[in-house]
Amino acid sequence: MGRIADSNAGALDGQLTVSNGGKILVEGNGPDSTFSGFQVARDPGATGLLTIDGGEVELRTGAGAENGKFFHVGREAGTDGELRIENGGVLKTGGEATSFSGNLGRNGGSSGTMVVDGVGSRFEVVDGAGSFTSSLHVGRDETRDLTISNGGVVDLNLGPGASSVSLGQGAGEDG
Amino acid sequence: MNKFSLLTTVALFAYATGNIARAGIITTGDTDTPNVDMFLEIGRAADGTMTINTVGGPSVVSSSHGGGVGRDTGATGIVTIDGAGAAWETGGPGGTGATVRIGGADYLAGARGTGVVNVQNGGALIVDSADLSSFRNSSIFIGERDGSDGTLNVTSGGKVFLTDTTNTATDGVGLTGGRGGKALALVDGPGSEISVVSGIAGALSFMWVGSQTVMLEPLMAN
Repeated sequence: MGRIADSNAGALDGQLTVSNGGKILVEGNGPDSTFSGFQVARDPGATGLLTIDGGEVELRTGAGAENGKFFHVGREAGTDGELRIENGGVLKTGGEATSFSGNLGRNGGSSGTMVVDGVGSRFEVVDGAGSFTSSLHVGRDETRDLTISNGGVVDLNLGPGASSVSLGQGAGEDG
Repeated sequence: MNKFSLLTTVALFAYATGNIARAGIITTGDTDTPNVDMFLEIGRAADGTMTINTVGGPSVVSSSHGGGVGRDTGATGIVTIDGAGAAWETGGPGGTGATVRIGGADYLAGARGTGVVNVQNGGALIVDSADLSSFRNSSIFIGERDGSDGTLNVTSGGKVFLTDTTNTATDGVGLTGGRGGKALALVDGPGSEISVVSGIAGALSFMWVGSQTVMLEPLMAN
């Protein structure tokens, strides 16, 4: 109980750890306009850390118009979000071919960091057959960091659809 | 076997074996009555606990209107769901809400409690908004109000399922941590899983990790 009682003193607002083979599945199977995703540090001033440490997080959608997968790490002004994939951890998309969009530091004044570290650690867009789009924005409107190290992999799946990585997309940003 | 028969069998077995103090469903402190109170609160105004285990056989707690763990300031609620066949089911057909709040509650001033939920050894927490049309469906809020603390531990093959496969609403299903307070969540070990699955058009399956303000706006993906 010590950790709980003390956690309001200087702790992050939210911490989620997926470790040692643990798994989280986020799936939307609606016929259209269905989204599956996560946000780390969402609202103004929020702090959050998602650690995938030898575990797995999967985002899936079924087939349908405008269906898609997404994540935001640091969304609104004053947020500080971090996504860590390490020790063979995996973050991946799946299901039918739809769209994927990831943002590190989405809006002005936000902070978003993503680290993919170590052999076997992966972030990959792995959708079903068909055309889809995938994009990862590093510093869409603000200064954010993406670090890939020690054998870590980021694979946006350059398939039949469009895939892209953008660094510093908006005005005044620094990706 | 229906749930009543199942629980009766569990109770009789426990009595016969002298394990009445340990078997099945055990509550302490300021805790509602499992399988009686539709909105089940554990540690509401003072400390309270609920343990669901498989001593004597499977044990299932149902609460059609959802539940809360550690609500008021100064109160600590602890729920432990231990073993394959041990489960807490909220919502479901005929229910009117499928939200589980772990630590505090945004709908009540002064609700800045501490909540802990342990789902372990194959135990299951099931949040299902089937047949409902509430504003927000199938949610677990961890640390919902400023000043509250919430912890969700899913370990050793524990399972947490959130679903709204037959709901007619379009808001979605999800896990929200640090909504106003502080939240810790852990999914550790092979077979341990949190599954957030929606089958409704326009729905959003989500998990938020760190969300400073209480959200009541419609959920948007972008």
